[in-house]
Amino acid sequence: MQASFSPVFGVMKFESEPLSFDNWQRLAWLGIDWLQDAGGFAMVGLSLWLLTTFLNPVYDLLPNGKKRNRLITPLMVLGATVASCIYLIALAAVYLSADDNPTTPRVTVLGLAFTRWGMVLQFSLAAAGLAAIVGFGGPFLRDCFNMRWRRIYALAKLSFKEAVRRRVVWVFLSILILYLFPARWFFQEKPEDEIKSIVGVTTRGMNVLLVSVGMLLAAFSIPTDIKNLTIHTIVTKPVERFEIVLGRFLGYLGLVTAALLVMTGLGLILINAGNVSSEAEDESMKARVAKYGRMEFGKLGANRQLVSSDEFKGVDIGREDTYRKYIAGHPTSPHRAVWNFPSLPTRFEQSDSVPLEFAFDIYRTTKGEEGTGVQVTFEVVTQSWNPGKKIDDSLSPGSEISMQDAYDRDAKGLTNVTPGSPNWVKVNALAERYGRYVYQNWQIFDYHTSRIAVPGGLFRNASTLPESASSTQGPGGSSRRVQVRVKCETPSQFVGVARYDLYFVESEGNFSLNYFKGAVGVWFRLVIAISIAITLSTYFAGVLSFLIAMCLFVLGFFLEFIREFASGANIGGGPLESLARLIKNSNATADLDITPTVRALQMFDGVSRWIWRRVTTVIPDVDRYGLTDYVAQGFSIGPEFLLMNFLTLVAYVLPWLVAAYYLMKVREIAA
Amino acid sequence: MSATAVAEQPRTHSTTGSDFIVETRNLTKTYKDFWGRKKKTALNALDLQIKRGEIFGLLGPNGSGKTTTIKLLLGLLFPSNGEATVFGKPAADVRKNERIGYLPEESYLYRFLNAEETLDFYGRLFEMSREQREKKSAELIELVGLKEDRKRTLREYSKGMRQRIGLAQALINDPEFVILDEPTSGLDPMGTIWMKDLIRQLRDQGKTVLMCSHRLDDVQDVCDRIAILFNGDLQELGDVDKLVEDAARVEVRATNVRLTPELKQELEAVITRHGGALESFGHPTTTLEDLFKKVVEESKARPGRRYLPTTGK
Ligand SMILES: Nc1ncnc2c1ncn2[C@@H]1O[C@H](COP(=O)(O)OP(=O)(O)OP(=O)(O)O)[C@@H](O)[C@H]1O
Ligand SMILES: [Mg+2]
Repeated sequence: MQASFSPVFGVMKFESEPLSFDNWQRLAWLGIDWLQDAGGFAMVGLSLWLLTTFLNPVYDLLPNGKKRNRLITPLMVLGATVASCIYLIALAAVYLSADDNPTTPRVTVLGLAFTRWGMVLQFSLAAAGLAAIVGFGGPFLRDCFNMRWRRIYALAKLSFKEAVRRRVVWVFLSILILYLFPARWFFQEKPEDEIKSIVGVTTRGMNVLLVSVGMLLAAFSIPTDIKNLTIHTIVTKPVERFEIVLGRFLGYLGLVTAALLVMTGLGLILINAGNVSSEAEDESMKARVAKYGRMEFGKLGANRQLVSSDEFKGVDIGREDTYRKYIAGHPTSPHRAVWNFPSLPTRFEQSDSVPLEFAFDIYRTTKGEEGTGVQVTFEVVTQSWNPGKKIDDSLSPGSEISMQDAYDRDAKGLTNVTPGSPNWVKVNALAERYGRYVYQNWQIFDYHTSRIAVPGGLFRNASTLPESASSTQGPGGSSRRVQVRVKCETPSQFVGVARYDLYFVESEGNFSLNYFKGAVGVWFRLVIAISIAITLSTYFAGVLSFLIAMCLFVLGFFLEFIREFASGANIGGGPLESLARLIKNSNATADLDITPTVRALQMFDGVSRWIWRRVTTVIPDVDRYGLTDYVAQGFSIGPEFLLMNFLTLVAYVLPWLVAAYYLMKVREIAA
Repeated sequence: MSATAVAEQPRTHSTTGSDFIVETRNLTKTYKDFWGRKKKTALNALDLQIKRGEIFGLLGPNGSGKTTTIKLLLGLLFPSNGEATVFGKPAADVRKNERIGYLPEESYLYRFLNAEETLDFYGRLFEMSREQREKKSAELIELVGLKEDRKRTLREYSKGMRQRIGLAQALINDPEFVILDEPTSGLDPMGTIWMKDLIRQLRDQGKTVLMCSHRLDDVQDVCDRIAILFNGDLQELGDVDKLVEDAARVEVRATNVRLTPELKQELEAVITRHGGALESFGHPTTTLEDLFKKVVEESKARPGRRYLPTTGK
């Protein structure tokens, strides 16, 4: 999940669906993508390697007197041959899929629909990638078994010692400048945002400082070793070339990790010891584990039944940012923002109350009364709630009463009761009986996280219902066990909502621990920075390595934009097709006659677009690792989430390290 | 400075078929620039064999390709043509380095480390245990005479001191094959003598030594066989004694006789009778090396200044 904190609106945004182990189809596709990407690069690497080592062979003399080029293994040749063949199949698929049109029948694979040839294309690219990876990664893997920790450790320790003796550590002290001055001196903000600012400023400071120092050290280490000839004494020991890369990598990573730990500790002390306002503590000194639902908009129809409606999908109020949709306020408004929770933790059933948190945006069309906010009503129901259903009247046995009337009668005097008050027991019982809980007219003043308590009885009610029943109900047919409906009561005001604006708090974690977990995100970025820099430095000089690494890293923050640019959602086709149009003087939307030439041009464009998209994967997705936003907002960072991010990190870093392995191996140290 | 510390039992290693430690065939190195254009052919079709247990000298003027040859053997450079094997393995194989000690032309060591840390670091690269490293590094520091200075960083070392720690580093793994590029450069005459002694001791322990130098006296003193390179081409190869032996001349030395004209006449008569001719007649000069050795030894025995300048009072 990518989160960003928009200073303009002061609201938290979660941009994309979180990666999770639950959604295995998506993960499978990510794996296939990775095979295509990494495999493409492996193929390029493999071809270059075979070419250069064929031209500059190093021979082993075999016992039978024959010579063998020791730089080329049979596995490499095999991998390259198989991959090339499958790439040809892929090319054929590109050609054949040119006939595809929207009516071509689709097949669904792992949750995605493809035309037949489209599917062949996807899987042949992945298979070719796999073959290339096996060929290219084979020698790497084999040499990994020759590596010895003692040597790598010695080299890592050397790097660490060198940095310390060169007094690099002093640079880290400059972070204290950020720590010593309270953030509120720089930012005029609401008091509750104080921790957000401190966390934001300190982690940004740590990021900049640690990433640039780590990158500098890594970029200059091997080139300096080569320049000072100190590397001669090392490679003439039984040291695998890649051990030098790994030793340097681990040494510098160790150094910046130590610095990161100290800085994080200091930051935590600063937040705990510094006199942070109590509003800020309430807002952010938490580590909530949030249970999110799926959001949609609904309309209360006849019989007070909620139906999904095609004409109401939330209002666009004309803000440039379309992240949130709005519902207009009126006491009789039928419009609802609806969150469905298909599954909920069983511990909710055992609780007396479960916190429901929310942070909505407000859009005022009139100034409104001074001192009153916009009022919002929450209705939490299970699917046993059916307002029109006739049930036995408990007060006058034998007669029937509608569920709605029974509820209204029983709920008298129990409006907006809070846990701890004597009536909470009754509220709990009521919720358990009817599967409904209402909180009326909560006042929202500004974008701000608030919470109400939902009685545990409601979840006990939900748990009694069979699973199968739960999957059919709800507007839009989406499954739910529990549904939260939000209604805006104040006329001519709007409330802006998005999926991640409302959630049940599953549990409260420890803020300090979470703060350290947030630092793991910084650490992921450091791993990226150092591995890129070190890989480049096995080929380029220090300055150049540093500059390129820095560029790539910074480009990572614009990755979204670059991807869009590279995927070329441009009318009129790719560069060659456009050229053809230019020559033929046809306009951009008209269909070109599919002559063989045009088809070849389109094919070329398709292939080049594919290649460009792979090229953009060289840029690290650094945004993904901005975990401290969660900390700042008081959300717990789950272990599964960290693991997921770690896997994406490995998937990104591994190809770089393989590149470093080869570059270092062919490097003629003394030339 | 004593070289006895290295006197260990010669170790026997399994030989790999032939008894040649190094074999090169048609070994050629052409330095090229980034675009693959030829810059310089530093070594041209070298065929060489180095036998187990000998001291082999590579000789030649500056820029003749000595260092290039050594770097090719160590895999620091890749041959443009031909091949080189060390212990029967290709030069590019790093495993062979376990049995090799290398002293570079200059001591390319980390200047922020001190002598002990340096040896500890290189010991680790050979996967030596802590005890092994400690024992070996104490031994070698003693051997190269840096005991007093072992805690100083290499940054503060003089050229000769760096050469010494460089040698210690080359011997850390008790190598079977020692490659020394200009081992005596930067050393004072006593150091040179000590180094030459050490090289001979290494051979006596059964190790093989390849050294290169352009100091002919050094080479002549210690090497069993030499190769002379000039401009990348092998000019001469063979046993030192055979190569320098001047079969056309005879030298006679005698003690306890006075240098009189009669002696000269009689000698000349004998030589002419045998069909030769007397070329020179006189006292042999001792070498400066001998003088230097004598002076240093005497000043060790009786410290203090001895030479008093005879300038006016
Ligand atoms: N990296 C290099 N790039 C280009 N030319 C080189 C390189 N290294 C050495 N040379 C050239 O190769 C030739 C041989 O050099 P080499 O260092 O082997 O000589 P050497 O015999 O060791 O000389 P010296 O006695 O000065 O140490 C020289 O002409 C030198 O200029
Ligand atoms: Mg040289």
